[in-house]
Amino acid sequence: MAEMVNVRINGIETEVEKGTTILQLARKLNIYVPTLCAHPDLRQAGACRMCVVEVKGMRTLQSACSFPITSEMDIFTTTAKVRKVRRDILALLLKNHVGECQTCKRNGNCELQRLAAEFGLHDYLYGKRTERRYSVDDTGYAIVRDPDKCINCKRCVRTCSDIQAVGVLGTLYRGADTKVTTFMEKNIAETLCVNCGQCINRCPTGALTEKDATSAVWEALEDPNKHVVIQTAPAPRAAIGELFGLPAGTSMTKKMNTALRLMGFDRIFDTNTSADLTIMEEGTELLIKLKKVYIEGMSKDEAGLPGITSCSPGWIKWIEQFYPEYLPKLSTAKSPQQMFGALVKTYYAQKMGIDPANIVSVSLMPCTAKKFECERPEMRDSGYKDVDYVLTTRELGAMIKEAGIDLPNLPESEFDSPLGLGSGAGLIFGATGGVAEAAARTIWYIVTGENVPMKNLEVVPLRGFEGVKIATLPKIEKTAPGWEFMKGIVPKIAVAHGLANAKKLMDMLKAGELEDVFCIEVMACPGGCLGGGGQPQPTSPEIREARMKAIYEEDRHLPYRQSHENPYVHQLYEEFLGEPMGELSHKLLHTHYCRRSRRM
Amino acid sequence: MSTNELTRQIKEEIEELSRKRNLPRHTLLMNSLHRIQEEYGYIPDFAMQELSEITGIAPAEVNAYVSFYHFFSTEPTGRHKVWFCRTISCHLAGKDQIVKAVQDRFGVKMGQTTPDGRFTFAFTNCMGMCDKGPAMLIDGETYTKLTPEKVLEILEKYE
Ligand code: SF4
Ligand code: SF4
Ligand code: SF4
Ligand code: FES
Ligand code: FES
Repeated sequence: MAEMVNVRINGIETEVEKGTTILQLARKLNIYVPTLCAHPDLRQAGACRMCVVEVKGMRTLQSACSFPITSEMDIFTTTAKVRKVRRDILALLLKNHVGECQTCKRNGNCELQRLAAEFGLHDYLYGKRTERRYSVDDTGYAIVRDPDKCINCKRCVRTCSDIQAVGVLGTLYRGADTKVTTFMEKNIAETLCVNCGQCINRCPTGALTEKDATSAVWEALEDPNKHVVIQTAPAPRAAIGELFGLPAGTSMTKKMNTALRLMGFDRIFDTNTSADLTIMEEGTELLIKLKKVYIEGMSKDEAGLPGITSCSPGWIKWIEQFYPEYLPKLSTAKSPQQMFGALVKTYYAQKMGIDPANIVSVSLMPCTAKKFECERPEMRDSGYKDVDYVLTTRELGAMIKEAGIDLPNLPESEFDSPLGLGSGAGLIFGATGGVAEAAARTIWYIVTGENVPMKNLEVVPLRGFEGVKIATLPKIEKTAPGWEFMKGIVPKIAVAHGLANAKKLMDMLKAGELEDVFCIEVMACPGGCLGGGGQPQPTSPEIREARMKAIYEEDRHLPYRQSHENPYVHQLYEEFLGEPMGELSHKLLHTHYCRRSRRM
Repeated sequence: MSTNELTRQIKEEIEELSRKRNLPRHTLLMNSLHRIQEEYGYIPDFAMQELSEITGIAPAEVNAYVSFYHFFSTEPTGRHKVWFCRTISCHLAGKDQIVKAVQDRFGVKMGQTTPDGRFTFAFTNCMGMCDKGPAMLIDGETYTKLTPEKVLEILEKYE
């Protein structure tokens, strides 16, 4: 039993576990304490002092977020002293904040703006700077920094180093000169930034935003000579409702289809279709690797085992920079977004008799790193830029609002064909462990001729938010013809989400601790795509949990649950691609990687 | 883009430091940075990145340390680094006259390097010599109870 301490907060007597912070206690009792630097995903910083409270007997006010309760105490959160200090802190922040709410991307969803409203700051108590001190850094592919809107809360710093193991954001100088910026104040494009956008998700203000693609997409939609198609990934559907006041985890798939039609998109397709292709390609590739080991006697290392997933572009840049020696293990299969892009300007264009030069291929993604991925020079296998523009969930939300569309109250409608049908396996790509689960469903079927022996096809050991998961599947007892060599094998799969967790997994691999693991799934973002850097703010473990539930719930009700069952996938191979890992598949659906320097 | 690399010797020294268990992060960073500055006269960009690679400490955090302490510089400096204390006791003891004498003699300001690359002058905070101010530090050597004449005399000794 944990040691308990008696406390009083605003006169309420209660008992807490020793070590609980004042903020945790307050939250538990529904006592509001304003915060800025504190974030549920991040270690304490005690940087802003917005959360000060009065503790009886202590001369100075204490930061509730970083004050652990260790002995009996009497806490007050609403005294005049507390109120004045908080107002002062806020007024000082506003003094140095250069930005116009009306034209800011965070208007209506900014924590600084909200606090200023809450505190009734109708005047700048300490004056107000109006001249910019810094310039906006939009050199990167995905993230834009406007340091004049930064309040030095360091959430981005902690995110970039602790969650993502990249560490290019930090503080420089001290005292009044302190500022949060990049390593050696380099342009973001020159740094090791992997474009994950996790810093954007946790920034309380408009200091960090995504690179805009909305203007380009509007322009395409307004151009009568362009045929504009959009593919939508699974994770945004479980989150976009949040931008319209709906609770996290409200599935908006079919209403979103209607909204996209109203906006003028010519075809609305489902990225899950190409996610199914990814499974067919990546699964076949993995099985070929296994054959090399168990039939040809090649060493696992030479054969490229464990196979590592490649659908998360933030992860790709990260491994290219930090563990390039493991690139040969990375699946060469493109991400679903890029497979889709390659098909739109080839297969789809041919089928419809449209000149690919007139097709504008847009994708809706939960991800900012996808903006970088579509710009990679390798991603032009159709002969054109395979994906022209990537919109984040946030950007699409803004566009829907701008178009005057009331998303929550729209009727539902379906995807278009022929690229508008995905299986549940493609859908669960949106959650950490989902790609591994989708692969397990199909590979198990190919090898044994039967469905994976799990209730409802749910491979539960691969699910959930534990940072690193190593799941052991049942022993393979029965095999389909040709797969006898797999008999008796106990497949193991490892999963990591968030790049600091990926680093743990890579270090385990390096240390030889993953000997009997067949495949490793890595997603750059916490929770997987559902926690992507382009998803609505704020983010927290609870919000991500709700989105995850929505995704798994939707999977349960789909007509096809496994990639190999998807009739459109069969049709694609028959009509166009040939076979998985075949010549055309190889050209359009696979890619290569590059070793990147770690030097900025 | 930097093409330089740390010398094998410094690299090995830092690797050895980072293998020490229980060595606080702060000590690891400070010792390594001092060693780098001693070797190069400043902390080059590539050195911070290599230090980060060896220790696993985020590059931006290394940069934060370097910028926090006035002793470290990210720009190449003169052959001799001269620090003047600017904290209250030394200030009251007459640091302004000292600094003026130096600036007049060498024609450069605090934070700058003489055109011949001989000195870099800079301010620092209290060096623990408060009862003997004004105080100055040249290449790790402290000089106290300075006067405008004395300071110029001392500097002449450094080539
Ligand atoms: S960051 Fe917030 S307070 Fe600043 S301009 Fe944008 S909305 Fe307004
Ligand atoms: S986008 Fe990701 S890698 Fe880039 S600065 Fe933000 S957190 Fe770091
Ligand atoms: S950029 Fe945003 S998250 Fe980072 S310190 Fe500034 S306000 Fe905080
Ligand atoms: S929220 Fe507590 S110090 Fe910032
Ligand atoms: S005040 Fe100058 S040494 Fe302390």
